[in-house]
Amino acid sequence: MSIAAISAPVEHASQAARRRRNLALMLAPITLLLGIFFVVPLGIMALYSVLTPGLYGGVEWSFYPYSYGRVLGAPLGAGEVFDPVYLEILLRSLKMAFLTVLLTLLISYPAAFWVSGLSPARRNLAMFLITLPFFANLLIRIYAWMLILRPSGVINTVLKELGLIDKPMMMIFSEGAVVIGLVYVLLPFMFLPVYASVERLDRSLVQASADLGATPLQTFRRVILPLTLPGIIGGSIIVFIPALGNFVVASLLGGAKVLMFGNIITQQFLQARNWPFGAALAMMVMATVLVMLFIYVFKVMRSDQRTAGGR
Amino acid sequence: MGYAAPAATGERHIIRIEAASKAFRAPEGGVVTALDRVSLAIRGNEFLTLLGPSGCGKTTLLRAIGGFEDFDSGGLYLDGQSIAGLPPYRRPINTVFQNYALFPHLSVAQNVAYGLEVAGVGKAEREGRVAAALDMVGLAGMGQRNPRQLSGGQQQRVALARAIVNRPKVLLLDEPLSALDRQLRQSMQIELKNLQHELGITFVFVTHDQEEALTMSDRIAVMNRGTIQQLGAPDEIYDRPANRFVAGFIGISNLYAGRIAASDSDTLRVDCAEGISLLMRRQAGTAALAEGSAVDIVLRPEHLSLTPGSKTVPIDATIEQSVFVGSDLHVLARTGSGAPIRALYRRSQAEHEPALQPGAPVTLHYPVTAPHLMPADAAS
Repeated sequence: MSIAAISAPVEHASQAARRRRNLALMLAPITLLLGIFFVVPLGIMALYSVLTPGLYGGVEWSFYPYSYGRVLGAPLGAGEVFDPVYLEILLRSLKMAFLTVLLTLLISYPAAFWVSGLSPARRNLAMFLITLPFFANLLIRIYAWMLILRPSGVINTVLKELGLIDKPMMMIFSEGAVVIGLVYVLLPFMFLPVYASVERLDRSLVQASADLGATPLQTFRRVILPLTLPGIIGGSIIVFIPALGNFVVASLLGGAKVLMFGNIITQQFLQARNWPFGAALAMMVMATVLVMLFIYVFKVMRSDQRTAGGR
Repeated sequence: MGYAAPAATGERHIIRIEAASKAFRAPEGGVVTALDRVSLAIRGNEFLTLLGPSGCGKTTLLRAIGGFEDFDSGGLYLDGQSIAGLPPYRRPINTVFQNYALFPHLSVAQNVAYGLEVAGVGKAEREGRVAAALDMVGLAGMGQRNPRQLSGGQQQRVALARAIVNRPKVLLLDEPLSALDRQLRQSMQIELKNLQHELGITFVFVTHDQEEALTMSDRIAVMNRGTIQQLGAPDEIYDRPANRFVAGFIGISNLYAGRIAASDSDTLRVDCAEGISLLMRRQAGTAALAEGSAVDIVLRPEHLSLTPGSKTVPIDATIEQSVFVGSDLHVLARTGSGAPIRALYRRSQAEHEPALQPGAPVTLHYPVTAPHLMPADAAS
């Protein structure tokens, strides 16, 4: 009796210790991985962005704030004028990333409803087909789009044969071509989270809404959209971020005409060899994304509080 | 079959269903008939229950009234006007769903206000009606809660309030009590019945629970295999079942199949397949049944007594089993010819308990008016 009374809390404490140790063990790999391959490089980038650029790449160890000034278009010193070219490229990149998000959403949302209504066997097939492009290399898939869009490509050839056009349309190396490429590459990232939330949507709620007198449009706005919003927002974030940073698609389908922010950063590191400036540009993109994420998290938390009622 | 739609003789029918049929494609292939030329007239302000086993078509019928299914053929009228093909949101009918289907992203008050909001009812009136509806179902002051924080019984009430706040002409209830535990279910049955009286709205209630149906309904439509087997008041259904199916589905019964062996203007003798002969008073409406007609007989266990009375008929049997269920003893006996017979012995009636041990001989007595005669099912 007394032994049990003494040993019980001891057992309890050792159990808690074991649980803590297990948790630490389970989290160790991801902590290590993120620490070495994410936090440390990010720190190096942040540091480089305020150092003096070396003549042939690399950095000199003295403080140099002007890279940020250049990003924002502020004059560096005597004789230079305000030049917002990098801000313009950032804005254009943002615009194209938003457009990519919008288009992938417009494609994925109805498709998700369609797929979730299929029989389980067909649904699995559909999911397989949606993930199928991942099995082919990204560059090859983008090259395929070059073959489709270029002046002597599939579309122009067919249209010319049909007599609908006499001169090939200039489709490649345009913002449109880049957006098409981005939409194509990032579509599954939008589809999967959107599908998950659509699948989870309780169809009896849609019926209840109709039963209570809501027209299909009202049902969509008041029930379907709010309940699938988490998937829409999740998909938008994981499409928006890679779309903003992508440089492969832009350099292949945009050519030299359509520079995205990712291309500028690549150029600074590989061609201009101005590492601090490239680092400053990268920090700029990250700051933009972070600000947007914070706004989102803040909004979601507020709407969670609202639905949780008096909790 | 045993039921024909009552002629509309000035009686106000809020809903009329005429020869409605509906078939579904079964997932395994083939076609399942959910409704087979069903006609039904629902009176204004009545509590009508669609009762039957699963797959009998009761839910399909309810969903068709709500607008979630269309009949393959047949008519559907609300207040004399056809509403067939009208979408659910254009029907002044509301439903309490089996799983409640409360909007998880809205508070209790927002759930209840939903129908009024989409109908464009002004804020002041809306708030008043929502508060009144919540008050009516006993949830006053709970409006700010999230539905997920509520118990099953409370969610049920929210679903009810959300429907009645719109003042529908007809309220449809799809097995709304099936998820509740027994005690809560019984108190909700009474509350629902009271609510229906208070509101004066027609309730169409679907259930497979006969006790629920008998407790609450003004009329019950017993359904099986896509047809209405019998439509009537609960006591009518219980005392005078139209056929073998209804007799077997409602309550416990002794069911025998047999032929009329002898008859005069007053009494009948039926020889049953099970080897017993039952003597009974001729009932109204059985004049067409001549000697030799195949019939089914239902004899309710509570009509069998251990003591003879005036005008009772004795049956000799041997007790096989007696089961104690509190106020009653369920006695299962077998006659010399092997026919099973169930009796219900009310314990409070006697001062001393008779010996009802298995193997003991017993003589059961039934009033000559007790057996109920039904034309034999064509199917059986």
